[in-house]
Amino acid sequence: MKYPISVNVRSAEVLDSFFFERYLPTISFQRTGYYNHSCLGNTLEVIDYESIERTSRAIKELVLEIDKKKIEKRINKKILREMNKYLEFDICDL
Amino acid sequence: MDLKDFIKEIASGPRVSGTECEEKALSFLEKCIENIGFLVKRENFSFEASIPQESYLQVGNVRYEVLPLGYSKSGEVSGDISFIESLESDMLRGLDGCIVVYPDFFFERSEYESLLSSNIGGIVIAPGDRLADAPTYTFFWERWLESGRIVAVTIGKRHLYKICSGEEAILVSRSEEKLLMSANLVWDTGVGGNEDIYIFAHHDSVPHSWGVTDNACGVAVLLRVCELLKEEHLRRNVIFATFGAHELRGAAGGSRVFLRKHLNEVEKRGPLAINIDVQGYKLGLNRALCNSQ
Repeated sequence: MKYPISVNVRSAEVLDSFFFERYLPTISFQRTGYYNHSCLGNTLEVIDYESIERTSRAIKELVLEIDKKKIEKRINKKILREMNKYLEFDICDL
Repeated sequence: MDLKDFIKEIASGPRVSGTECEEKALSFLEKCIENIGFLVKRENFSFEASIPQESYLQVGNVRYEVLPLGYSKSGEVSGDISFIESLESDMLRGLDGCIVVYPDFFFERSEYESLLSSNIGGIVIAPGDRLADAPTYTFFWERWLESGRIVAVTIGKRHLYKICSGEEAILVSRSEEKLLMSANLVWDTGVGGNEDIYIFAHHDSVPHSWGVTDNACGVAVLLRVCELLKEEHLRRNVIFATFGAHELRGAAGGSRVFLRKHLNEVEKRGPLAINIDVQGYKLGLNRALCNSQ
């Protein structure tokens, strides 16, 4: 794949993927860069539409590639244990 | 789907879960998904949220508007203002009962830990000019604030020039717990087979924000992927979802509700999930995070 995937990167924030990762391999696609919730990252002028198209095509490629293969589910228990130390709620706690 | 028109419409205002604005966004999304050619299902759920009420920092006779952080306890703190540049334990020593002003919101893990063990009265963070320029939650904030003694708010950075260390102040933070309704949208490619690939993005925004990059652009990617995959002949079924209540108290609410409801299928049929969260920022760099092997 042309899209770089970092493995074993810990997320400090509650991404939705955190909960999925307990049950199946999960990849989070993000576009980084300094942004604020209500300033820089939140006006239409800051959008790179090309990046949206490129990421969409990268995910499509990934899905097509995965679809051809048999996937063995393996969850990295060590990282989950580490992350769980900071997790105060679970899917049942809503 | 025209990306520009889509994002302009979906990010035309805040999409805070439990509000009419989220409802408007959901209806728009349903139409877009149907236009691509899929049948979409709305899965409603209720959740508890902490809704900010009147909150302020009073220094002398002047009141500055502040916004309670997502997990802040309601409360009132009187104490001296103390500006600090770092939240390491050395810096917090001797500030018992003080209202600590930290003109940023980036924290090292060790700084969260030192906050947890400190005896400060409250904290005012000032990441930007607007009140909402701060994350509404993190694991650390939650742990810390639920210890039950901390009042935590954000303040517009421009106000900091009018406040000095040593001044006496009152910090009042009020939030109200409310039961709100939100929804997830779920649809799939409808292909048979024994396995499902999950692709999802949250559709709501933080309060006071249009949530353009976080996550209107993420939803745009999701729908574009959906459009692209429609033309392909896949062996596996692909389940798409947009989640609500990601940004409010009980963070990632929609995804947890989804998992609870569909856990059997996810465990039995799901070889992979793809999450799309924060996209489109002009100066950003793409990355994909994977904690699994």
